[in-house]
Amino acid sequence: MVDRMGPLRTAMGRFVERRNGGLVSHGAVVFDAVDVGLSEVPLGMLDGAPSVAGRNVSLVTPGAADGNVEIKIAMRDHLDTAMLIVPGEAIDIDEIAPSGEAYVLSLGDVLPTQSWIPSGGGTAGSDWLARGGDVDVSELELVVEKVERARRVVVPTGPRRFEEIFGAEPSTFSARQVDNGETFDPANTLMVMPGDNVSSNWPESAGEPPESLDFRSALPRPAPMGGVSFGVAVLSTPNAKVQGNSVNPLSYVDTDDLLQRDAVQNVLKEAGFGEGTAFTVDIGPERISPQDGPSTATLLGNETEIESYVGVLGGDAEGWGVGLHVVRGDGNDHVIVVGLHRHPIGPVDGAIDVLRESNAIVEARKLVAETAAQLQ
Amino acid sequence: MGSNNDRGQEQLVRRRPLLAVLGTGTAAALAGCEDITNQSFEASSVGLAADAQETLQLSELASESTTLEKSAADGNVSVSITTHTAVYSRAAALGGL
Repeated sequence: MVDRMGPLRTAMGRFVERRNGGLVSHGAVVFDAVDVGLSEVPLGMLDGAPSVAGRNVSLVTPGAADGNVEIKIAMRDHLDTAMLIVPGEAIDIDEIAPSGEAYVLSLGDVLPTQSWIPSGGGTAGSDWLARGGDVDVSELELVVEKVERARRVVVPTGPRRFEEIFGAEPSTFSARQVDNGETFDPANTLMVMPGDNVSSNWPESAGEPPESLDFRSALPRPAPMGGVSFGVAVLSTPNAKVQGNSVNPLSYVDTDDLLQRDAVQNVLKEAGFGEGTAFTVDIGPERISPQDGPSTATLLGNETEIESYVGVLGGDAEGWGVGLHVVRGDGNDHVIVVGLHRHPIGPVDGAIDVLRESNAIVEARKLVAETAAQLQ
Repeated sequence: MGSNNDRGQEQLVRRRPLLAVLGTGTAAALAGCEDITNQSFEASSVGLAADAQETLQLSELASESTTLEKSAADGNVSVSITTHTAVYSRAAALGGL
């Protein structure tokens, strides 16, 4: 059996992989519930069926996969396709008492760490949580590896079994079934709920559950999935000269031009875009200069700039937000390192702005720098 | 490290007027004829060692070489440029796709 690592050791990672038809590299995005038209979410799976304001609810929505084209984002229009996250303290209730089947897990077994560097620490990103809620996200420091400080996560299941949702036995994530009558302090609890659990427990008093949600006009952010879509291509090409003139364009064109070259595009497809995918770059690629994270990398002993770009794809890959991070260096040969990552943001206005400001850009630049330093 | 095989400048000078007319495609086709200069360049491979792949959680998906044939110096030189590429994936290293 394959030794699952990083995000695939977490319940959320396995949920995303499963919902993506086995392709964890499709990743996920996070919507705020109010942005897709949910102003109030009743939690019928808890005693008392409390409601929580939509501004406190986030929806993790995997990229999923269209059966015809590997990279095509599948339509998402229903609550059942998402995983809902609610900080317990946002629920107006004294204690959380699941009324149906539920499990309790530590945070580190549910949410992947934010860092894309495996040794980079164990904090889950606040991007999992709704941005406009009543809870101060900065105080929800989600320490993952320090289990003694980790928040408890309560996961109500049903109508499906735990294994159907996460593709693994509860013991895989050290999950314990909640005892009858067991309650939890809202201040120390994070609720993580499959969308179909929410919709199937929708109380009559709350009216009809929404038949569809307006995902198409809402702006999500990349789910901090530990870089599951990251790929990197390394090209080593000779500094070929004839009569003193360079004859290898890969070694002398600027990076804007380099990214348009077939030799580079082909390896980028191998590294993440899908070799058979006919895609265009609808928006961008736009060069960016993030303030955070490393600005240079060490490549074969020489310090060199990290050049970053963001764009939104079209064609078969419509709506994928992508980041590209390039490190180049010269010795006897010209070495080009291109890290790329993609996120199923969707064909929505402002997608490139979300990507430009995303923490994924900072994490990707760190990983590209680490990768360049290890090349030999 | 690049390698280079140059067969001399005098031949280049003599052939230039003819090859300038024939164009680059013809020059490439003539590579191997006695008056054509052939030069080949090949880069050294650069990549991540196995322990680095494990540390970074990046698995090698592909490693290959591609050779570009072109003409240079006004078509007087047939050039062969070999590039090595390696592609790594985070998802594959995690045990997924």
